[in-house]
Amino acid sequence: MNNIPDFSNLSSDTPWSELLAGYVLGDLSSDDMILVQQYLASNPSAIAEVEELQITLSLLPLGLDDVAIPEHIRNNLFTSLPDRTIPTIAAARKVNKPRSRNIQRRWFAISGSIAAATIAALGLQSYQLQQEFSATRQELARLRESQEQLLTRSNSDDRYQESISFMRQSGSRMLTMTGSGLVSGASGNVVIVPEQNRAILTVQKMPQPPAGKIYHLWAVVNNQKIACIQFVPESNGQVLMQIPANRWNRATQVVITVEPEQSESQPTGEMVMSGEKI
Amino acid sequence: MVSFMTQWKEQPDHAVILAIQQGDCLALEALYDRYSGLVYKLSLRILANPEAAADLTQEIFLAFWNKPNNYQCDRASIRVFLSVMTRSQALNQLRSAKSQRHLIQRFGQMAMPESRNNPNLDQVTLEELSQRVKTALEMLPEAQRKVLEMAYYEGLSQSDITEKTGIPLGTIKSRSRQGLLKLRELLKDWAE
Repeated sequence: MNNIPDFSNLSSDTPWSELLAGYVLGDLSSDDMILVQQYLASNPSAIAEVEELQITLSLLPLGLDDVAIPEHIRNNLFTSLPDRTIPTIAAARKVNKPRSRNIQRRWFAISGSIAAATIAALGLQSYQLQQEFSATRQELARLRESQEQLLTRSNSDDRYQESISFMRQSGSRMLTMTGSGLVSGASGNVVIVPEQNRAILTVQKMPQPPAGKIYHLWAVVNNQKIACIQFVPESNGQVLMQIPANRWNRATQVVITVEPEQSESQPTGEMVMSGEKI
Repeated sequence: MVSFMTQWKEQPDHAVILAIQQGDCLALEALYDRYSGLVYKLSLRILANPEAAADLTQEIFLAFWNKPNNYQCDRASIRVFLSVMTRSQALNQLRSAKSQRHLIQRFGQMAMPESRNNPNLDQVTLEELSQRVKTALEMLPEAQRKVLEMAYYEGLSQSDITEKTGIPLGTIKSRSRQGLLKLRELLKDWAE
C-alpha cells in the first residue's frame, strides 16, 4: 500500500558503485532509481563517479578495430556541403575572447611581404588572365622582381607555397580591387577556385581601420552583395587569407567596405575598395 | 593537390570547431579527417551495413556543419559528442527497422556525459586512446565484455539479453555493472 521506498538504508553497506553503474547502464528498477537519485542529491562526489562511468562507456567505440573509410563519403559530403551564413563580428567575439581584431588569423592570415600577394597574382596571371592584364606590363615587371626576391626567402614557408599552388589551379578566376578614400593606395584581389568553393583574398598597403571599425569583403552575385569575411590587415598593411566561397563562387565583382564592428549582413559603411565588374 | 589543410591539421579540436562554427569548411574537412574513422566504424558496428554506415557518417558531419552550435565544448569532448550522436542515430535506425521500443532509453543516462576537461584526454591522440581502450577491453572477462557490447552496440536491455542468451537477468545485470566498473578502473587515467 505504500509505494514510497525506504531510504533508511542509505548507508555505506549499500553497493553504491554497482548501483551507480546500473544507473549509467540504465538497468535500475524503479525503487533503485529513486534510491540512487536520493544518493546523488546528497553526495556530490557520487555525481563525479557517475560522470566517470559515463565517460568510460563513451570510450567503448574506440575499442573497435579500424576499418577503411570509403572515399565516396568524403566526396559526397564536401561536394554537397550547403552554404552557411558567415557570422557577424559580434558573434565571433562572443566565442573568441578577447578582441576580434585578430579575426583574420583564424582564417589564414600570412605574415609576409607585399609581394606575397602579388606573386600569387602573378602565377595566376601567367596561366589564365593574360588577356585581362595585358595592359599592366609595367606592373608585371615590378611584380616579377618582387617574385624573385620572394622566392629566395620563402622556401620555408609552406603556406606561402600552398597559396601559389592553390591559385594556379584550373578554373580559378581573379577579381581585382583598388582602394579609394580611406585606403587610397591599397590594391588587392580575390582569386576564386569554384571547384573547391574557396577563395584567397590578398590586399596590400591597407591601413588599419578606424577605431571601432572593421573591413568587410562583399561579393556581388546577381547584383546582390553577399557577405564574405570581416578582417583587419596585418600591421604592415597586408592581408592574405583563405575564405570559404560556397555562396559566392560565381561572383562577378568584389568590394570592401569599412563597417562598424557590430555590423550586420548588409553593407552600411563607406566603400573603400572596389573593382570592375566582369 | 596542395591545399590549406595544413592550417588545421596541427590545431586542437576547440580551434577547429570554432572555425567550423564560423563557417570554415576547411576546418570541417580537418574534423572529418580526425574523426570520420571513429564515426564510420561505430556506424558499421551497429548497422552492420557498409552503405548505411557510409550514409550515416555523412549525415553526422553534415548535421554538425549545419548546426555546429549544438555542440558545447564545455559539456563534452567532440569525440564523445560525435560518438553519442552516431550511436543514437544508428540505434534509431535499428529501432525503426526492427520496431524495437525503448532502445535508446536503455542508455538514457549516458545521453551526453557532462565531462570535465581532462588534460590527459586533451593530450593523448585518438590512436593512443584507441589502443588503451582495446587493451582494457581485452583485459575484461569475456562474459562481462560481451554483455556490455550487446547493450552498447545493439541497444539491448538486460531483459533482451537474458532472452537472447538464456542467462538469468541477475547475472546479466551483475556482469554488465562489474564490466563497466572494471573498465573504469582500467581506464581510470582517461575517464576521471
